[in-house]
Amino acid sequence: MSIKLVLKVYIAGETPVARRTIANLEKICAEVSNAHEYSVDVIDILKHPQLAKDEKILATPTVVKELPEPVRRVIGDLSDREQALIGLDLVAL
Amino acid sequence: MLGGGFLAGRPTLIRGASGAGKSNFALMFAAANSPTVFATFDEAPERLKDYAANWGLGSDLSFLDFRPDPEMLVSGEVPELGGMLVRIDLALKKAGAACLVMDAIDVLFEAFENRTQIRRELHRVINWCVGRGVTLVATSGVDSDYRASTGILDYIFDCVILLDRRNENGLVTRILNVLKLRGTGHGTNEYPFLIDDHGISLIPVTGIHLSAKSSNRRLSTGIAGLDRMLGERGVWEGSVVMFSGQSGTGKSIFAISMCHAACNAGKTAIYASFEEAPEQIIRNAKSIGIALKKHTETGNLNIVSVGVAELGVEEHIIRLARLVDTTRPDLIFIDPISSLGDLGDARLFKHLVLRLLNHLKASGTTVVLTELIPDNSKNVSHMNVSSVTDTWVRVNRVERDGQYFRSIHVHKSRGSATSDKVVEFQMTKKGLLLGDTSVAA
Repeated sequence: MSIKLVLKVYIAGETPVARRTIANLEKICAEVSNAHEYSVDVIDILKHPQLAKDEKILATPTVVKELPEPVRRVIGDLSDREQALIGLDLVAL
Repeated sequence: MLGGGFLAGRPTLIRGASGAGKSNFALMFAAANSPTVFATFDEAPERLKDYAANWGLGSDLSFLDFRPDPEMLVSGEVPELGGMLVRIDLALKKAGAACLVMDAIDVLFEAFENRTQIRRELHRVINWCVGRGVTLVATSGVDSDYRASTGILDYIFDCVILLDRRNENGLVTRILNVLKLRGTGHGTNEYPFLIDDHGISLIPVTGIHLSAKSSNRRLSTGIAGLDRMLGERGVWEGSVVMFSGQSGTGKSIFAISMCHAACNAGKTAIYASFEEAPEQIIRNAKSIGIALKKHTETGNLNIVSVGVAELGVEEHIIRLARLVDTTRPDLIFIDPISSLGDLGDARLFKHLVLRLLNHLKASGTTVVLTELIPDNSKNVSHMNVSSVTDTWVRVNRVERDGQYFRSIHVHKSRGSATSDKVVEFQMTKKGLLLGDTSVAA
């Protein structure tokens, strides 16, 4: 059975950190997805302040794994691959 | 103290150790300047709402929950606080607010490792607020390496207020000190304050100018003889009267007589006793033919008894000042004021009493004090509050021919032609009986 992986990245403007984070996340997904389907949405909270409120985003970038459950969050540019995998619970995928 | 309040459109920092009362100050500010957006980094919005409700503050605060998630994992470079400003902006717009509180910003320095980054972010928020004319009140805890962790935080605020708790002889006093206030003058002293179920009360600050209203009306002491000694018609309304004497001389009886006369004349009074319960005071008055009970029943008289050792001297004084401010009596009796002096440092005591008296005078209240002079002090007053006392009556007891005789004399009475006589008196069932009080022509 195929597991769908849904990830969201909340950024505040297209900063170098934001770009680096997206690149790191894409790389991790490609590696761990194991042929599962995955999607990465980038949300710029400067353009969507209401989403920052709804999702209680304080630090940016914040990466949220929405599916599969449970929902997990990690902040930072994901350059520490180990921490990112643990934090987003992608180890056992 | 701040010359009118926090600086509008400028940032203020309130810092102090945990339990110093920072959040309370922030809540008070928020409630007084509704609508205000209250961003909390430490306590849950629900808890803060409860506190506000306990004090009867408005519930229309909009909260921003900025508490860092303790489970949050960090991967790689420490992030920016990009969400902070976006959400502040949104919340301010939504509430139509021009005031912002950021409560417990020091939490950020603990939650995120990169302190330089956090400082930069805070600086950004502060500049943003200044740019938009948003009044910011931030609070921060202080740990032992406050300077090291927060860097130059004090410098980017236009006003810094320090809150402290001091424990002396087991009595805790809250202290407020304005460290800086750009652009205007401010009180530089340490000011004691109080937090209780009424909220925050600062000890009265009367400023450096003496501004007591002076009355041209007289108030009877209730004792014809004493009125005569004080220039026929008693004391000036709104003045400070003190009866000093050793124990058992009859100080309180003079105060009670005066209280009775004032209430009979339709005045309202508070009788604050540090030694006796209301029932005892009523009974003592009765023994010399004075019925105080009717005045408590008509509401003209409010007898308040406080155990002196229960509270610190600052707290006693703040409570008295607040009682007068809220109920606005014509007179207040403090029996004996010297009890408060037993609580600690003599200089602090004198300082606080002077402030209280100045405050009461400025409000036009007539103040009647009794002072207990210790038996071993050779009848010398130790209160040193003569400068703010307008009328000072000394009550004495001397032994002569195997009997004690009580006597009074007017030590001073400003603005009155007073008698220089030492007059003997007796306590009888029909009140105080004074000897010959005729003033020599």
